[in-house]
Amino acid sequence: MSAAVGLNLAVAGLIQGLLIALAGLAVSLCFAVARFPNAATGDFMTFAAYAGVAAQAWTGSLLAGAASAVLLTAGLAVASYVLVFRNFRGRSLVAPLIASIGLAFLLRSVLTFFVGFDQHSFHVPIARAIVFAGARVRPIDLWLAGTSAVTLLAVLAVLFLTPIGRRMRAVADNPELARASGIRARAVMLTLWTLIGACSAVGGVMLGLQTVVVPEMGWNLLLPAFAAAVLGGVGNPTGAVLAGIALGLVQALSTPLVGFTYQTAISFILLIATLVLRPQGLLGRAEPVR
Amino acid sequence: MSLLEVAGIAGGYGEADILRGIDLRIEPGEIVTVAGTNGAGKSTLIKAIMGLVPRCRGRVVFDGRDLLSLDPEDRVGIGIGYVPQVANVFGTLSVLDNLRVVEGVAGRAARIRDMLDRFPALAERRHVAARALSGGERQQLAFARALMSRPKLLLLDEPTAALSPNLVGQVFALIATLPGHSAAALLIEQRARQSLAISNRGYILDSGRVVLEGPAPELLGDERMARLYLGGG
Repeated sequence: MSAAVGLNLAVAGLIQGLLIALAGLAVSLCFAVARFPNAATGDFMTFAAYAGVAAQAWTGSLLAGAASAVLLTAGLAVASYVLVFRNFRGRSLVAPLIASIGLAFLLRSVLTFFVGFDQHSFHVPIARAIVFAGARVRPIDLWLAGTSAVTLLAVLAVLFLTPIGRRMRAVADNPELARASGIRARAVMLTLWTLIGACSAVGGVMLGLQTVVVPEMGWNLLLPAFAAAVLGGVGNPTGAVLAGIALGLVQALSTPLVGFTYQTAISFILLIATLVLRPQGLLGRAEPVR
Repeated sequence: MSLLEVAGIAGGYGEADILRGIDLRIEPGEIVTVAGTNGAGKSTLIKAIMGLVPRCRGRVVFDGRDLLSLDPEDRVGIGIGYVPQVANVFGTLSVLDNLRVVEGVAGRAARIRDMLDRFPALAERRHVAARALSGGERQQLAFARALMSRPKLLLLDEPTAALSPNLVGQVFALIATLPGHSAAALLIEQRARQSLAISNRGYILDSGRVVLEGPAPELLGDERMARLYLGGG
């Protein structure tokens, strides 16, 4: 593999990694605070991509399309909490996990009922790629990377630098003590699901801009997202972001060895290896059983 | 009027009742010990008062308000603080964030300064994650967190459990200062002798019922009860 090919793969891997990081962050936030792995995350992304395509077609603006996708998907995520997941408070993670799988299938079925299985795409202006040290980077890729990085940093800033983020971390740490400290679950959960929706939406629009918009697109990203969440330490949002970026790079750089078709298998192998060898994740810490 | 009146409280987590009709009262500024054998329902009682027991019936009135109709988070707002036996701090949050996170605190910044003045060991380690604190520091942080909301009543679930003997004395000394800060305390303790020594009154539980109650000196002086329920402590 030449240096130029390696650099091209690394750039593609970084962008793919930022996308996985967004999905992984959405999964990790849900696991940390709501305490279940949300299998509907991928379909939130699919919904966002379709919402973005529709809004772009209606307004003629990619920016307006993306902003609409974020608002609508955040609304969808909050609605899914209010109508579905709120009912499982205090139950084991199995019930909300199964419910999230059901919600994922429901969302996909509703989408395909209205838009069918045809491919859709965002309208992106054609622009010449920038060549830097042998690596070819499309201007849209720079926008995607920048938007993803800003979104990831913004979500982490909410989590670590704001009072509502502090309350979310307290609920994630010890829900019973959080209640006994006067923290109201309602505001925390509404903020959580808004962030989950926003992360999923930016990820979905990114994915749609990179390729085409089809009903299965988000579902296919679910395994790498779960792998990032586990690899980063379950319930560790910062870890999920770093692991997502690393996973994207590993997947891309392994392409000359395993080909494009088996890239996702890398996620699966890393997921299983982490669960077997270091269940607390690479950045997580082993906690004693209380 | 008593600060807290518990009348016929019963309930538990599963189908079987752990609490079987407990009556208890606490006057303002009083320290009250609840002692008893393992499995007597001491921790369940304190959790029921805090609203953390899913199935609970009877009557619990705090400062003239019916507690059973309130969520735990609302009980903090009307003046109840709670220090659990285990997992009593947010381990992943810094010391400072453990104090900042408490809701319904008027003059929060000044109150945090008060707490750090009162617990100098915490002031030195304010930016450290709570999980990195020693057992004694953790207990101080748990107290400081519970005191942030200026509670009229502090519920303490075995605050000396798993502490070294010299720290046990410090914790009891700290509890003894609570009435001076206008807070009453309901204290669950295995070290019942030491606990009663700083208490006004005490209750002895057995199998979810009160089997003895009275002024602390009388309970300490009752040899049969001391042998059966108070342990060597």
